[in-house]
Amino acid sequence: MFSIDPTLELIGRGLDACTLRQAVYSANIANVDTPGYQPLEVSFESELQNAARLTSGAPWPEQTEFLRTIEPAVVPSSTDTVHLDQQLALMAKNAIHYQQLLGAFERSMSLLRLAALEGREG
Amino acid sequence: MGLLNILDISSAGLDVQRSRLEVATANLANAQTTSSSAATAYQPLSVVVHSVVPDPTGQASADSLPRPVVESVEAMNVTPRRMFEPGHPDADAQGFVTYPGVDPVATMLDLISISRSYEANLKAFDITRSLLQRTIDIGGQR
Repeated sequence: MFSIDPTLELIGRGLDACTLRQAVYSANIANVDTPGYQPLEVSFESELQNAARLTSGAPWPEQTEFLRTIEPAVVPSSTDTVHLDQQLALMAKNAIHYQQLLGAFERSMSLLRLAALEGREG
Repeated sequence: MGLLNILDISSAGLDVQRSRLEVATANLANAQTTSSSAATAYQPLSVVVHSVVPDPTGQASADSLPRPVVESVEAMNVTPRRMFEPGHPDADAQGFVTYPGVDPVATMLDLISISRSYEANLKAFDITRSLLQRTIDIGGQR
């Protein structure tokens, strides 16, 4: 997605995972009255952490190369029934996470902007 | 992968709940209709909902997730109530009037559950919409 800065790329991937998670929670809520529906969830952060642990000694470019291979995945949830309150709470949490990532994205961009303008305001 | 498609999931959920609401209110509204035989009595209806995946082969995205759709609206197989009202114009030879077998209590409970599910879908729609708005605002004046 971004090749300028690995941080921006990681933020982008985090946003992708949040978007998918938002979709999954929406689907769980929408299908609450469908008989036999298996609730879903997204696995991403835990795999990202595992990957980060595995590559902790490696140099940064190799680490980002490896982290790039981790994709957010939709997996069946451990529970069989959809609880609306729980799903909405998870969704609210996910929305906060998404906005945090957006904030981080904006700050990273403003750093790049500062560098591009050689530190001058403008 | 986009936020816009997520709104479609919530819309599908709202659609299904609206159909359930229509059917539940139709059942309640017709609960007191009279007829002279079980064959002509109003048959309480119920909604058959299934999940459909719009794009099962694609990578994980909003389109690869199941969406609820109303498969059909079908008559429930419930026996009608028969009330002894000999003077009624719809009374049969034995003096019984046939009322549809609508269960008002179960239908009211259905209405409450529909209302909660509708609210939850609406809330989900709202959260997705505000995330979309925040994303559009990237690079704008702060």
